[in-house]
Amino acid sequence: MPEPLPAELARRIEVLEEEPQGPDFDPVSWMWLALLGLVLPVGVLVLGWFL
Amino acid sequence: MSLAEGGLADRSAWPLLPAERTWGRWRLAIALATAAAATWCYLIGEYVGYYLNFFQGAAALTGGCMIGMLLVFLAAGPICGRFGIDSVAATKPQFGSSGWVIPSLMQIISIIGWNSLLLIFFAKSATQLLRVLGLMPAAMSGREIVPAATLLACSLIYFSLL
Repeated sequence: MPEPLPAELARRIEVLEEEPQGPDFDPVSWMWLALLGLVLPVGVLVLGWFL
Repeated sequence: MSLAEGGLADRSAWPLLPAERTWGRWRLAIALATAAAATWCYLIGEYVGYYLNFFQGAAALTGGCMIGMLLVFLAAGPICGRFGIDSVAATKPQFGSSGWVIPSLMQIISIIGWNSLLLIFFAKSATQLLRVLGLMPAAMSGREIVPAATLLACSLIYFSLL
């Protein structure tokens, strides 16, 4: 049987899960992530391929 | 929340509440920029030059690094940012409460390997510098200077961390 979580740890997890995700998890942030992590580098690689 | 509880959470790798976190966007940006400008950039850039011309190499390095950063960020960034934990603690959902030792060991091994490489670079650079400046003792060669410079670098790091 798994040991129960320490009370302070359980309290911290509960507080963090109840909080809103914050400004770094909004749609604009995910859009920037996709732009900088996928769209732009793939474009750069395609550009480099034809240079 | 008392300071004692915050300190306990920090030492035990428990999630840090937003008020307890000492990092922010700028601190993270500076730390990451420092890592990005590390020696590995020069090494990889040198090897890319053997296979690609300047424009192709610049495109491959830029695009490849950005895609690589996306993969690394997706693996650790969201959970670490949301719950205020370090990247090794973030592996517990996948590896379990005992298996997290595996990624932790992998991280330690990679750090030891990379820093050993940096120490070798430092020692060889010091040897070359002594040679260029004409300060290399006549009775000594790189075989003696490299281990001595490595030992000196290790000692400096050790005592600066005490």
